[in-house]
Amino acid sequence: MKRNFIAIPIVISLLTTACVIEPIKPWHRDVLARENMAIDADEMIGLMDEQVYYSKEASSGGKGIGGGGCGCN
Amino acid sequence: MQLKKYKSVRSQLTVATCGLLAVAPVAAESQPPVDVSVSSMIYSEEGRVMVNEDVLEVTLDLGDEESITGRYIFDTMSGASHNGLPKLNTAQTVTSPSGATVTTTDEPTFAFQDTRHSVSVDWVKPITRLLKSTNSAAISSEYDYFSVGASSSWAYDINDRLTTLTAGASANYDSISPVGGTPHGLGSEGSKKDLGDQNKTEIDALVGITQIIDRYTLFQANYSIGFANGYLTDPYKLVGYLDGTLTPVSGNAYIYEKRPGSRLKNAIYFQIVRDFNDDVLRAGYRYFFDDWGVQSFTGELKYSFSLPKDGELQLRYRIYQQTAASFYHYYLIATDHADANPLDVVSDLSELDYASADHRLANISSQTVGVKYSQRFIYKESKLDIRLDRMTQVDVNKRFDELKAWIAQIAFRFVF
Repeated sequence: MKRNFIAIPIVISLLTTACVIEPIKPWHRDVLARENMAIDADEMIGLMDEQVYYSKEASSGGKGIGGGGCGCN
Repeated sequence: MQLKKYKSVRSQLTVATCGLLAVAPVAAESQPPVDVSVSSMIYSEEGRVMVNEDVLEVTLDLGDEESITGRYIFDTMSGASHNGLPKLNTAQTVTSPSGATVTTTDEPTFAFQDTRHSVSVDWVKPITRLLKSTNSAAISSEYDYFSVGASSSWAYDINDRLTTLTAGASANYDSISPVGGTPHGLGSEGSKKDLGDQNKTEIDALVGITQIIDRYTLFQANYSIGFANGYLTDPYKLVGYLDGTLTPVSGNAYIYEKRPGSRLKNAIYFQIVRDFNDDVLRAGYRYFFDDWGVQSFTGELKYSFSLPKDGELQLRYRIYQQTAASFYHYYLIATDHADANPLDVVSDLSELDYASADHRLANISSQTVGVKYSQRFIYKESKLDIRLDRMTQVDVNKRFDELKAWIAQIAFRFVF
C-alpha cells in the first residue's frame, strides 16, 4: 500500500510535467470557460460528498479548508 | 363610447410600451442577478444510519466579480451506529447513551436520532484585478454538538492568468455535550460520566496552485495542514476487553475509548481536468497522513459525456484506503490468544494511554461507484443534477462487517 501512496502521485506529476505549457490567449479560453471545466464544478454535490466521507473515514482536507463542524455518527 | 374605449386602450398600450422601454434597463441595472440552489440528499446505510441533508443556497451578485453567498443546511440523522464493540459468538448486553439496554449477537450498535442546523456565509471580493479574497463564516448546531468557524482564502493570478496561486486558513471551535454526560476515557462502562461539556479547536491552512496546461487541460495541486487540539474522543464509543476465551472480561468487559488530545494532519491533493471534444475527464488524487499513524490515499475519476440538448451524463468512481491509527484495536484482550493481534494484548488496562475501536480509525478500504445526470434549461439559466452513488467500505483485516450505503441527491439551480 505504501508503494501506491508514492507511485500514484509520481505518475500524475510525470504526466502533467510532460505536457508542454502553451501560452493560451484569452480568445482561446472558450473550452476552459465552460462551467463543467471549472476546478470546483458541481459544488453542491461536492459539498455533500465531503460531509459523507468526513463522517466515515479518518482523512479530511486537501481540496479546501474548513468543513467538518459535526459530531458525525 | 366604442371609439373612446379603443382610443383609450391604444393610448394605454403606448404609454405602457414606452414605460417598459424606459424602465426595463434601469430595473436590470438596479436588480443584480440572484443565483439560487436547492439540494436534497439521502445517505442510507443498510440496517444502520440514515441521513437526510437539505441545502438552500442563495448567491447575490454584487457586480465586478463580488458576491455574497448564504447557505442553510438542515440534516436529520437517525438509525443505529456501531458502538465500538466486536461481534462475538456469545450474546452481549450493551447500554445506549440514553440508558436503553439491548442484548445482541450481532455487532453491537446504539440507536440515535438528531437534527443539525448549519448557516454559513461566503463573501467573494476582488481586491485588485488579479487578487481575489473569499471570507467565510459558519455556525452549526446539533443536540449534543455546536460548532463555529471562520476562514479566509486568497487567489492571485500570475503568468498572464495561466497560473493561480491560492492560500487560505481557517479556524473552528467545537463544543460537545454528550448525552448522559462525558465519560472518563478508558473507564469502565457504567462508571461516572461527570467530566462535563468538552471542546476542541482546529486550525487549518492551505496553499495551492492551479495551472492552465493547454487549451483543454487544467491542473491543480494543493497542500493542506491542520492541527486539532482538545477533546477528540468519541464519547459514545466503547472498546471490548476480552479474556483468553474471547468472552468479555467479567466486571470490566467494556471501557470507554480515549484518543490523544491533539492531532496534526497533512494532505496533498492533485487534480487534472481535461476536455475531450466536449466530454470532460476529471481525475483526482489525495495523499493524507497524520501523527495518529493514519495514512491514506484517495483516487477519484469522473467522466462526463456531453449529451444532445444540454444534457450531461457523468460516471463516477472513488477509491479510498487507509491504515489504522496506532491506538486502534478491534478489541483488547487480557491474555494471548491464537486469533489475537499481539498489539491488542493488554494484561493491565492501567498501562494503556489511548484506545479506540471506532471502525473509522481501522485499516479500511472503500469504493464508490455512481452516475450523475445533469440537464440545463434556457429558462432562468437553470440546471438540474441527479446522482446516485453506491459506497462500500470493508475492513482490510476482514474482522468487522462490510458497510454498504446508497447516496442519492437531487439539486436544482436557477437565476432570478
